[in-house]
This record gives sequence, structure tokens and C-alpha cells, in this order.
Amino acid sequence: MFAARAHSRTLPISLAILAALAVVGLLPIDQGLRYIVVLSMSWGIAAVGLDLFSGYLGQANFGQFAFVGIGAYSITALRSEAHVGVVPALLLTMALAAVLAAIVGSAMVRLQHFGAALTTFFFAFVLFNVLGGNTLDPITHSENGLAVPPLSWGPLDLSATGPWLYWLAWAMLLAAVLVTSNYANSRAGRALRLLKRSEPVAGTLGVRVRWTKLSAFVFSAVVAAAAGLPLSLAIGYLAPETFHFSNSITLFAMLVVGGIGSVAGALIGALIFTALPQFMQSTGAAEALLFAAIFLVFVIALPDGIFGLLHRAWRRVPWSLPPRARGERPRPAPRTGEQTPPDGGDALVAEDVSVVFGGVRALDRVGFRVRSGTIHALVGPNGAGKTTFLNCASGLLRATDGRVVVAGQDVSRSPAHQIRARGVSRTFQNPSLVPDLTVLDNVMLGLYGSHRWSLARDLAGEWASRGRQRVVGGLAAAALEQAGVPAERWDVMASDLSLGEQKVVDIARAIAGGSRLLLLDEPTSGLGDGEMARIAGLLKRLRAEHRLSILVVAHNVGFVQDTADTVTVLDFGRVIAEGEPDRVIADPEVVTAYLGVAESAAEVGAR
Amino acid sequence: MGLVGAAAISGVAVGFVYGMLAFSIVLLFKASGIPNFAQGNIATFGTFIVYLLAARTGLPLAAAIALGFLGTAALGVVIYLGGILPRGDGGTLNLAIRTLAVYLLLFAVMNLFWGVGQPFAFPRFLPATSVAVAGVSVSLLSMVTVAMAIVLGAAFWLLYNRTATGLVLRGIADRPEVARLLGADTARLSGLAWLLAGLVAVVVGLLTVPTALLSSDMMDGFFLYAFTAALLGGMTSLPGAFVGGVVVGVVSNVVTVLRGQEISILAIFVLLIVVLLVRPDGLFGHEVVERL
Amino acid sequence: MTGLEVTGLRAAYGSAVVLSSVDLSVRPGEVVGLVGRNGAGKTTTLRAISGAIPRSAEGLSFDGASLPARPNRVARRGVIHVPEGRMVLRSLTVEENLAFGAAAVGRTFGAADRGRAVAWFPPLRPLLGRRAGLLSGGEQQMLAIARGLMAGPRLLMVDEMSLGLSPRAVREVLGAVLAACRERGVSLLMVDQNLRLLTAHCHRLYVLAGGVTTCYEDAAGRSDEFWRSVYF
Repeated sequence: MFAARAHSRTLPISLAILAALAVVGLLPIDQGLRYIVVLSMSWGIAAVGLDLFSGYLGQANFGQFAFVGIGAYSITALRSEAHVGVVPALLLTMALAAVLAAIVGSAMVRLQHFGAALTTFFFAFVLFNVLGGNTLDPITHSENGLAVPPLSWGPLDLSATGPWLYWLAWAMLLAAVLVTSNYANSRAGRALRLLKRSEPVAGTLGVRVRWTKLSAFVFSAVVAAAAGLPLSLAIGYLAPETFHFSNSITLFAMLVVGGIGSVAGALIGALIFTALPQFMQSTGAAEALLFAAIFLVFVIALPDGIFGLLHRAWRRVPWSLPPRARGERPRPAPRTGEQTPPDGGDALVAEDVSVVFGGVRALDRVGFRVRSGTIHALVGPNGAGKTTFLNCASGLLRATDGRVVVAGQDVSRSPAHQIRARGVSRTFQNPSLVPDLTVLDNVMLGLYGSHRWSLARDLAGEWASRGRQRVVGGLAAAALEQAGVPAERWDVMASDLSLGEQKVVDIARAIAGGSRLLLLDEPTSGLGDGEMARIAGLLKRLRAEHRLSILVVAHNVGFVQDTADTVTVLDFGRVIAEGEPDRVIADPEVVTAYLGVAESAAEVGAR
Repeated sequence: MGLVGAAAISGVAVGFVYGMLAFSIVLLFKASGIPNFAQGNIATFGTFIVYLLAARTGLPLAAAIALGFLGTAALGVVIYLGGILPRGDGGTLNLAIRTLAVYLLLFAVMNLFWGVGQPFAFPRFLPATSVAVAGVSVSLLSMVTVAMAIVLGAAFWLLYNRTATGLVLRGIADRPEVARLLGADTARLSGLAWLLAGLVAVVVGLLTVPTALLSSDMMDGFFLYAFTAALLGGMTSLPGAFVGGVVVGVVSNVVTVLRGQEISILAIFVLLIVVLLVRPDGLFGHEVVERL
Repeated sequence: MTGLEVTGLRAAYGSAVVLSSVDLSVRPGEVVGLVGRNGAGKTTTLRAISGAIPRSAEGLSFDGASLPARPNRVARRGVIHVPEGRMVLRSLTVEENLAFGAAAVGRTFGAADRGRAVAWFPPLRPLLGRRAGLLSGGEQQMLAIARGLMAGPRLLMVDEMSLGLSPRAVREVLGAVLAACRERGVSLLMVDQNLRLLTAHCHRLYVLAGGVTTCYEDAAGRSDEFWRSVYF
């Protein structure tokens, strides 16, 4: 289910739902129904926040409703015990939620999926007991519960029976939808979606993995806490049972049924789960049974939820905003502040690099140089250690011994995002594009590490970052053009590309950010002759026009002869030959490494 | 024997019950790679079956327990066939979430059909006597618990290490894809694992009701503690589940005596996080978390 | 008994088509090789045959009967796939791994079977009680193949047997495999990078490129230059 695709630019649908809710609010409906819709909207706020974390980042969070509880209790206690005004109470509560989320989250982001999920669920359990227990009794009144003082804001009666609570909930829901949609469709949101696809790849593009995941978790917690305000005003009385930990599962179920990863789906799910039962004449237990059954059916058969169903059915209709303008296409600018490497022109130097995995020497004292502005091929049979070396050079693997020096700096101990900042980018044998982003959006991720940007500006929405969007879009377009990807393919979903196209887009992503050293991992494996020639041409252009240094891992000897200035041959983790392609390829030891060792039948037969 | 000492002793006893539930969680995890969030509610469901048969229909308790075993084992298989097997290739996270849906489903079913008037007092099936062992008062229930744990442990050890079926189960736990390539019928064996997990679950339920009232949410905190115990012992180690259970039992009981129940829950939470961060493989497990 | 007959085999990962139309056959008693560049799809071919990945084909049959879709059923038909990377069951002992090979397809495993396994692969004899995860690369490769043979196959498919092994270990393992298969009348399909090794021992060689196969009947007779032009 976490492979369920996320959706970009669904704001129009969310706004349509909000418009419908506004119409409902203006109609003369009875108080009972108004109350239900206010509850729906409150749950909806929490669901929208959860969607960012679980839908776009793709991590399970079974403790979201606990933060709603923290929000409800904190705001109410501040108002009734400390006589704080509602706005400062809300802000303080959101800060409290942020702090708690940061504490729990900093442990959580270091864990794998299952551990993270269990941690959030246990957190919800802890909170439920704390709310009902004695430790915080002065604040929470434990089992007795807390009465919510009615609120009026100037002339507006925001109490549960007044007409204006509906609009408060509606306005907060609108705000949550806008901010979450902004987040999901921004640079930060693209980073989350890349993390969902692959954390190591995200690291090599400059994403600070733990920090980014933590930010998303804190965001969803803060949104949940805010939902506590309309919820508490609506129900009028807070008791621990209201915030039982199974409600976090119910909230998650709403999201799955509505459509995880779409923001609008969170609204759909919340409305269905809370509003629909009112039209059924049934008891609470029967409803719970029905919804649990629906949840199970959806997880098994319809993991994309209702939104996914609608999206599939209406695929031809342009739901999303028109594709953003291509803008100008400037040539990729060289990175500012670059110095010529002090090593006398070496883009990369490997010195005695060794990697040992539990007794196996994957790399054994590998040493070679890549001169600036040249293409250096790293070849060898399967299992020789080529990808292992690239992983060392890009910060995904720490060498047991030796050094890797990039542009004069020792990067052996540097994390991936720092190496990216030094102007190194890489591609992967398996392209690892984000399948539910377009080609252009994927290439824009290549620019993630190139500019400093703040999450706050991302949250403020497209209007605040229009200028940057244009620049980034233009650079991405330039990279795609450079790589030879036709413009009509730029709005295609990456999952619809052929393997050859994906590899080319992966290269475009790598060059978009203006790197000066490219590490390419088998860009030609699995490709036909025509596609291979295209890539060979691209590499030669990059060398000639942009003086890029390229270290390319390849298997195909013809390709190597055509493109490489120098070659290093690995076998069993060791360098067995080095030099110019023609000479190296004729080397008998190299031929043996590729074609294998001959054994006569007689030798084999006699044992 | 101070208060803390007594708490520790009783903590060992309750720890064996946590350990038994943890054991069933690890059993399923080894066989199918899924952490089963519904395991606690399966235990409660099975206990309800026994209760309803014994207290409402006048069936003798022994017969009710036997039928309860049958019913819960069947429940395990039904959950597997209906909830886990269909489209079972969605990944372990998808499957784990299905178990959460089953958790909600079982909870709702119990509330809807049997919830009126809960909590219930379960008919006594063990005399509430205590025996003095080495100067410490040990309840009969605790002794029965430990005895059951030993019997279960021995039975499963025999199954796993002395039968062909057990060998195949262990191979599946080691490398499921390879096991399948070599001919292992993973579907049938997973169904068997769910059946066995159901049996163990109802035993856990029956060992819990003497000291608790039967209600649909009886096992809520319990199963979280059992999960923590399973992780502590290493998700691939069956004996480790019991060791983990005892650790959780002792820590929670001692902290409750010293600082109250809320702090003790918080302590177990912190213990969970520390274990996950420092030793994700638990005390005895190997190569666990990478699977997920 | 017609052996393995594959025509028009097609397999893809998502929208990336790896095999477009693969034909190959392995007649009873034969030793057949499958070679190709890295990324050509050799492993994919074996996985498609054994059902580890979804595939479609004009014809995919063994001994006249169509091969089922699920890998465990394919294994029970007598087609055993020894996957790349050896994949021994690390937490089980060597002997338990061998027993597993039999138990997984519902066969018994007794002293006679164990005796046969160590007769074919003598280095395993002193290691029977050791955990498989602690063996060397060559020993693990022997174990993986022996385990496969314990299932009583009629066709054994071995993927990248020589990967990561020293030339001496390759010599040992290959010799043992060929002898064991000859003794039991098991046909052998080997995928490997080590072209010379295969040309020396295979009746027939298939080269996989561009998603299709080309068959070379007289593999042993061709020169190195020929193979370089085909392979590179």
C-alpha cells in the first residue's frame, strides 16, 4: 500500500469539496447535522496532516490522533485553567506538539518501517493512559474529564450550539488543505516522495534524510494538534475515552479508504467515516464493524482508495492544473564559487580503497585517477566491485581502508548529501526515479542540492516561490534538452517510461544541478545498440561542451572504446589493468577476466 | 521480601504470559514475515468463545475450552485465508496494516455481539491457592503458566527441530523466496502457522482471565507489551520471546510499585525505543529488521 | 520425455521488457549453457522459467506438460532452480539444508541420500554439522547445488555458479556437478559469465542479446575471436 501512488496538484478537487461544505454550511440544516459535519471537518484536518507523512513520505503513523488529544487537552486546559486567550493557546499548543513530535520523531526516523509504526502506536497508548491517569491530574482531571469552556470571539459565538463554529472548523480545514498541498507539491514534497522511493538515492541528491523525515512528522503532529481546537469546542467535554489509541487506527483507515497520498482523499475519507453513519440507523458497534470491514477490503483490493478509483476512471480528464510553463531554457550554469582542483586537474582520485564485508574483500586496494574533463571507464565482470566503488565515492558506503579524494577534498568519511554539495552526482543501475512524478518533476529533484531554500517558503505556496520555480524549471528543461529527451515526454509519469528512457532521465537528473563530476552506474546495461549510441553521444557532448568529468561503470567493451579516454579494469575487487581502451582491451588478462578460465574436460573429469 | 522483591517475582509470572503471547507473534513472524497486530484480540475472541459456551450454555468447562481451542484455531485460518492470502504480494507493510484492520474488526465484532454487560467475571477453573516455594508465595496460576510455557516451548521445539514440517518452516523463515523455489508450499504452511498462533492465543487468554475481567479490550495494553517482549527477545527467536516477556514483566511490575502505573507504561515505551535503536535484532535474534 | 521446451518466452519488469522472445531447449541428459552481457536478462530467463517472476510464452513445457505459474509447483515437476548468489539457508546446518531440499518437495531424506550428497561433494562431509552461513563461497555453492539435487530433479538450472569463486573452486564445483548429473540422468542448464568454461562443457550454447536467443550447436569448436565479437 505504501507503493500506492501519490498524486500531485490535487488542490482543485480539495477546494471543490470545501466549496460543497461551504454550501452545506449556508443551508438551513439542523443542529445535529451541523455538529456531525464539524466533527468530520475536525477529523479531516488531522487526516490531511497525516496524509503528508503517510501518503507522500510513505511512512506508517498510528499515533496521529494522540496529537489531536494533546491539542484538545492543551488548548482547553490553557483556556480554562490558565485563562489564556484562544489564539495564544492554539499557538502554544502547536509549539508543544512540535516539541513532543520532535522528541518521539528523532528516535522514530532512525528506525525501519515496522519499528516506526509500533513506536507511534505505543505512543498513542502511552498518551491515552497519561490522559486518564494521575500524573497530569491537575491539568486533565484524569477520568473525570475536562469541560471545554464555550468560546466567543468578539461578536462571534463559537460555542457548540452557535452558528460560527462551523465556519471556524471550515476555515481551519481550508488552511490545513492549502498548507499541506503546498508542502506536497513543493521542493520539500518532492524530496519526501523521493525518500519514499529510496532513501540512499535521496541522500545522493542532497536530501538530509533524517531531518526531512522529522520535519514531515512534526508537521503532521502540529496539524493534528490544531484539529483539537474545533473538535474540543464541538464535543464540549473531553474525556480520555475520546482519545483511545484505536482512534489513530480509525484515522488511518479513513485515509486509506479515502485515498492515501492525495490530500483530497483525506477529506473524502473523513467525511465518509463520520458523516455517513448518521444516515444509517445503527448502533456505534455496528458502524465500527462496517468500517473495519470496509478498511480491510480496501487495504486488500483497493489500496489506492476512493480517490484512486476516481482518478483511474477519469484519467483522460485533466484534473490537475495545466502543466507549468516551460519558461526559458538557459544553459546549465556552472556551480558558483568553484575552484580549479589543487591536485593539478584530477576530478577524482582513489587511493588504496578497500572494502571488506564479513570476510569478503569487495574492493582490494583500488587506486586510479580521473583527470578533469575526461571520461574514465570502470569495467569488469559482474561482481568485480564496480558499484561498490561508486557507493564509496558517493557516500553510501564507507571504505574499510584508503581514501577517495574529490576535487582535492577527502570525501571518504562524508555523508552523501555533503558529497553532492561538492559537485558530485551519480546515477544508479536501477534508475530509481519517483514513479508517480513526471519526468520534469523528477529532473527538478536534481536541483534539490543546488540552492538553499526554506521549508517555510515551500509552505507559503507557489506564489512565494514563483521566481525560483521558473529558474529551477528552466534548468531542468535545459538538462532534459541536453540529454535529448523530447519535450512531449516531459509530462509523462516516470512509471510509464521504458528502461532506456528512464536511464536517460536519470542522467538528466544528475546533470541538472550543474555538477562537475558524474558517476554513472551502468548507464547502458539492458539497452539496445541505438540507445547505447545515444548515451555515448550524450557523454561525449557533456565532456566537450561542459568539460564535465565522468566516471562511468560499463560492461560493454564497444561502448568503452567509443567514449572513454582511459579505463580501469577490476576483477575480484582488484585493479588488473589500466590505461587507454584499445591497449587494455587487448590485454590477455583482461580477456581472461571477461571470457573466463578454460578448463579441459580431462582436468575436470579427473578428481 | 520487600515490596519490590514481591513485585519482581510476580513480574516473572506475568512475564511468562507476555512471553507466551510474544511467542505466538514470533511464530507468525518467522513463518510469514508479518507482525500480527491482531494477536491480542484473537486471544480475547477465543476467551469469549469459551466464556459464552461455559457461562451461557451450561456446557462443562472442559468441553467449552476444547471447543474454544477449535474455534480460535479456525479463526486464525479464516483470518489468513480471507485477510492475508488474497493479493498477498503487496509487501509486509500492507500485510501488517491488514492485521490492524483485523484488530479493529475483531474488536467491533466482540462489542456488537457480546459487549452488552461487559466486563464479565470468567468462571473459575483454577483454585486460587498459593504454594510456598523457597519462602515465596507463588500462586497456582503462576505455576500453571510456567508449566504451560514449558510444555508449549517443548512442543514447538520438537515441531521445529525434529519434524520435516518444522524444517521447512525454518527454511521459509530464513529465505522465503528460495524456499518457494525449492518447492515449499508457503501458503499451506503459513495457514498452519496462523492455526498454531490461534491455539497459543487462546491459552494466553485463559491464563489472563483469572486475574482480570473479560472484556473486549482486555488485551490492549497486553499485546503492546507482548510486542515489546518479542522485539526485545529478537523477532526470530522463540525462546527469546519468553526472556523478553520476563524482562518486560519484571520492569513493569517493579516500576509500577515504585512510581505507579503510568510511569511504568512510559518506562516500557522508553525500553521499546531503546531496544529498537540500540539492538534492532534484540537479544537473541538475527537479521531481523532488514526484512521489513 | 522431451525435456525443457521454451518458445517465445517474454518477461518484463513493469514497462521495461527484458525478454521479448526467448527460445531454448534442454533435452534429457544434455548440458546447455546460456550466456550474455551483464543486464541481458540471463537471470531473468531462469526466473521466468521457474515462475519466480510473471511471464508469458508461446510454449513453456517440461516433458510435454506445460509448466505451472507458481515456483513451488514448478519445483515439484522436477525443475529445480539454484539461484544466483548461492542462497544457502544460513541459520540451518549443512545437513539441514540438504534435508530441506528433499522436504520442500515432499521427499524423505535418509542416510542414503546424505551419503550420495557427500560422495558427489566430498568437501561437505566434515561440514555437515556446521551452520551454512559460515561456509566459504565455494562450499556454499556446492551446498546449494547438492541441496537442489536432493529434490530429485530431472532438470537442474544453475545461475552464475562461478560468480565470486576462485578458479580452483570453480573447477571443483563444476566437476562435481557434472558427475552428479551424469550419474542421476539429470539435465543441466547453466547460466554463467565464464564463457570459456561453458564452451568447454556444454553440448549447446545460447547467447542472449536484445531479448532474444541465438543457438550455437558447435560451441566448443569456435575460436576466442569469434566469441569476442559475439560477446563484446
